[in-house]
Amino acid sequence: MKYFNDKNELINSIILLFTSLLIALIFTLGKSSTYSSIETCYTTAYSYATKFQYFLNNNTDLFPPSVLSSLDSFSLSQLIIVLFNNLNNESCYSTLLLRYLAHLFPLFAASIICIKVVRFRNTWEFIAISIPVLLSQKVFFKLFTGPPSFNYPFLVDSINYTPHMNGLLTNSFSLLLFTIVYLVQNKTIRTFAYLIGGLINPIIASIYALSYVVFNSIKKGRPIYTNQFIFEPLFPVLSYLFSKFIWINIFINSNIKYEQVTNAFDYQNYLNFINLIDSHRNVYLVPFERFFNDFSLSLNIVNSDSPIVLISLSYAFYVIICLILFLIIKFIFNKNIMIDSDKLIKRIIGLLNELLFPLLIGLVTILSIDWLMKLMSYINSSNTLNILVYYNQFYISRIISLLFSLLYFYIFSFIAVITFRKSYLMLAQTPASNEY
Amino acid sequence: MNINNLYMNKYSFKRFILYRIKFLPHIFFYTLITFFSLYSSSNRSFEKNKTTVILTLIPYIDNKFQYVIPFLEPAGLDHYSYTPKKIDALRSIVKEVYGYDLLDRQIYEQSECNLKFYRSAVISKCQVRPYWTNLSINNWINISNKYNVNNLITTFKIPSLKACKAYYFPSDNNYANKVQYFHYLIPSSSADNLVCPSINLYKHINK
Repeated sequence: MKYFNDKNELINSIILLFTSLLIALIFTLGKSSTYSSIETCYTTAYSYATKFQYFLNNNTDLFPPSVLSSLDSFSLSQLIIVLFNNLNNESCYSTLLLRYLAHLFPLFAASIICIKVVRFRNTWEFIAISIPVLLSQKVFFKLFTGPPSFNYPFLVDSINYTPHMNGLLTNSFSLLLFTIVYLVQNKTIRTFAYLIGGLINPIIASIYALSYVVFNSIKKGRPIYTNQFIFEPLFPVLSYLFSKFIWINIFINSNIKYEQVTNAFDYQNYLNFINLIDSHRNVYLVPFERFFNDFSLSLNIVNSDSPIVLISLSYAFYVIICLILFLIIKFIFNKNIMIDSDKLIKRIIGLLNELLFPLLIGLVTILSIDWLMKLMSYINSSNTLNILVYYNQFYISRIISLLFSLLYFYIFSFIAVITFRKSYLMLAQTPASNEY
Repeated sequence: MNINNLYMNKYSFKRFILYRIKFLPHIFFYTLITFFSLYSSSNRSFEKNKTTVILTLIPYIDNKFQYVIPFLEPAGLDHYSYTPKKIDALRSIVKEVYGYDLLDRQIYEQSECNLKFYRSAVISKCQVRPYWTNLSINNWINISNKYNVNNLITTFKIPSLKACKAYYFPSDNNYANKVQYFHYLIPSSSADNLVCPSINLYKHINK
């Protein structure tokens, strides 16, 4: 039996690249009536970019707070929207491009999985399995709604009309970045992924990179400082800081007075703000909402300083789910299924091992940290070393939603690969042994 | 592993720096960002003098009216969770302009109306409506001078301010039911004779 050579793999990669570009285009422009509708064009990112342009165009020393906020919202979306607005004032092509990218990132991630898993003797067989896997991503997004409102919504199910563009890009790019970090060894591709990740969400991109360095070192049994990817966690943060510096400070002359934003900082006010105002950092009752529905939005909960039992029940629920999944995968991996099954199943289990263990361990770790932080904020508001302020400011708990969506994405993708491969073999009446 | 290995052969520091970081993607990337920044800063004519700053309680007003930006996005307070050092400034702005203390827990316990805004990241219109309705013209002049804002759009009438125009807007995407938006001018002085700026709803809303 002749094995695939590099040329075939290259051809397969190019085919999947162009197929992904085409499918993303169809998904984005599928409903022609929505090209110029406000649902498609208006996003919070567009709003921030417009405010940033107000900042560029006005030489006043007193800007409204919404304009000052736009200086903090530097991201890939702001860069693209401002650039496009300079080219054409009246269009929302920039938003369409960003929605196109949001479609494209998960398709690239699915393509990488296909390249790693699906291997046939000729390209047509590869296409017959891989393209349905890419198309099925649309079904995946419709089925999945994320862990129920935990920390941040899963927005990839509403790419064409969600106004929360930066959150959408973070969710969407997270699927691609984690896949690249764990499955692609090419340093140029990894570096570009981190640099772009820095513009989308530097904290999450850096955490993914750091997790890989740690897991890679543990796997190889070497100290972390000898890891060849040791510098990679710095790339997203540096990308964000340098790019923002170039974008705001070097080329834009402004006499803005910053006294509006540098008042004395009272950490207790910040924690009160998080507790009373924030809509994302306080969602933790949802798994038990049905049971506590009457209780969750009543004056009691406002008066209550420590809904510790509810918080603990919610977090324990998620941790138990992760531990059960961990045990199931460990059971499958250790059993003789590896001996009996064909090579595709073995490859899939190998990749599941590669991807799901770090995901589950990461989830349990971050859930536990977030749980602890919530308890800290309710028990006497203890804020040793300002840790609660840093934790909420960097919003690390947001990664919980992203890791859950990754978990779902990988499990679904592997099920899709197996299903379409079985279907192909049945239709083509080809014995599984022909595949290597 | 011996720490000395860090400086030897395979794990040498030089190898770390020169061979384990590919600099070309970084150079390419930052050059691209520099080009984008230069281009954006060179063309500043976009919407100059067209954009009006609006004080409002209507969420995302910039997706209803063309060329407007809100003074403070009333439904986007959670943005400030990322910037702890701005909380005190935000608090004082809300107190002076919107008339209540954002961090006063008791407000949310006062009424069912206020409770809807608890942990919603939205300015409480239950607090602001009576405050704005009862503000004297001198109070409005002070707000205008301090915060450089001259336009107000609300869903309720404000007797002390000069009215410009009323707009009809579909309620909750139901074109049969419409709510009225009132546009007012906030003068900078008692002698200020402001002219109403032209503010237009987006075309899809006028259908």
